[in-house]
Amino acid sequence: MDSTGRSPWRRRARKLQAVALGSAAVAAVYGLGWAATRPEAIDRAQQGSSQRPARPRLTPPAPPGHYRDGTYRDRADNAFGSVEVAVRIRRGRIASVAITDWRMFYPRDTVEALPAQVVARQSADVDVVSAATASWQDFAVAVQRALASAAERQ
Amino acid sequence: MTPAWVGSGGGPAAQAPPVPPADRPSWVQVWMDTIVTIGLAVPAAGAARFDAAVQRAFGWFGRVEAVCSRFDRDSEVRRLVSHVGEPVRVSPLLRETLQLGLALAGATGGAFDPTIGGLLEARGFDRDYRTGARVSSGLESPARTSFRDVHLDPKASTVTIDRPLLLDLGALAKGLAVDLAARDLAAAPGGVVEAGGDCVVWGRPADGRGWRVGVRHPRRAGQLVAVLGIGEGAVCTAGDYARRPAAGAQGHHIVDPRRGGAPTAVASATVVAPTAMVADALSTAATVLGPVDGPRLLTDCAVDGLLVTGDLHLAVTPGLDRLLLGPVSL
Repeated sequence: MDSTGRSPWRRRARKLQAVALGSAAVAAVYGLGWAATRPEAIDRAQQGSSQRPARPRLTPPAPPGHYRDGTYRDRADNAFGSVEVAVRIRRGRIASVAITDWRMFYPRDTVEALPAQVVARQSADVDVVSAATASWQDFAVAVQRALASAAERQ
Repeated sequence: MTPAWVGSGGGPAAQAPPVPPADRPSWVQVWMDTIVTIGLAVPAAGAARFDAAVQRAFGWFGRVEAVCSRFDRDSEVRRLVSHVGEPVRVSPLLRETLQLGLALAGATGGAFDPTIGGLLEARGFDRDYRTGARVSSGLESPARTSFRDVHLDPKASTVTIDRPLLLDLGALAKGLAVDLAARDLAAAPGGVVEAGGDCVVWGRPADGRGWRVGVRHPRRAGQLVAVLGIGEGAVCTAGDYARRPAAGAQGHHIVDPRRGGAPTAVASATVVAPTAMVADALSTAATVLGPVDGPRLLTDCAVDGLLVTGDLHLAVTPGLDRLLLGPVSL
């Protein structure tokens, strides 16, 4: 590091006014009280704005008997990893969904409620998991793809 | 970071443990992997009426930890970094903490860098003190991340990160919690909040004289390098003796974000500033910058400080003289 006193970081450090910034930060947080620690209502804030993650295009729930019996595996991936699911169809309906491979950057339990939702709704249209949208997207798309295979040639 | 010994009266050679004298009521709890001590300059008989305020003050540590802990998968900061490439709304606390952290990072050319979490984790600082469990974010290639990958929009209160990374707000968060706790106790005529090397004092000690804050010798247990007279404000020391990484790894808990290794030139860096948040962050930055540029940074930021080098030399800011009570002894 340049120690002549002319280095860019020294000019920036002088301009920074770290002391004032720190005092302002403490005052702002203290002034709000414990409410300052509450995350914003992320989903509400993202409604209708460009911050909302792209929701994968999903087909409406299929009528009972729509799918061919069997187990269908498929996967989806995005920048943060990939997910493989196995969807089991019995008597034309979604009987169970299992996550058979989890290679996401993020922990798997963020989406652990989703397989049951697929069964309950007979659809890949599961609830958005706030703060785990990448995992949620991969899961939903993988299920959607598996269901597409199950519905082929019907 | 466990250096500052706080005491009033007595001489600089007094015994070292950070326990206020018996005539001053004190409360101790464990938060943020360290011991938090609150001492108030009120008669012991009148201490009970401060109990509620003291519990509330301790509560800030839990609140700040729930937002800022990189060990807690459910903390706000961990949930934030699970979104790459999209703006995420953040709480005012996280926004303010990150704003200061990113500003300091820019001003120090990355000597202070809040994206150092991945490097720390890779070096073995990966245990949640509350459970003892190893925590892993699953992050890969942490060395390539820097504060330039984090974009804060203060008006919208959103943060966007460009790539997977792990934020470590440890230095700022502990300081902030100490600052907030002290504010909750401002009604007391004087007091001290101390947490693992960060301490804030205000008012006057029970004996009516000013606060004396001892700076621990980085190599000789129980010995003080200097005693500082502080009217009101924060003193923080970052020291290479405070924490060590997991077995096998070299160095200590402060990592040079620019190079990856633990800086060796500085054994401890003490900073006096109006807030513990700034004092803690600047003591970390000064440790990384070393005995020449460290004090320069402190002077540029209009704070004072004292660095002890690994070979036990002293580097101080020009203004430190005003704060010293008695000679410096190495």
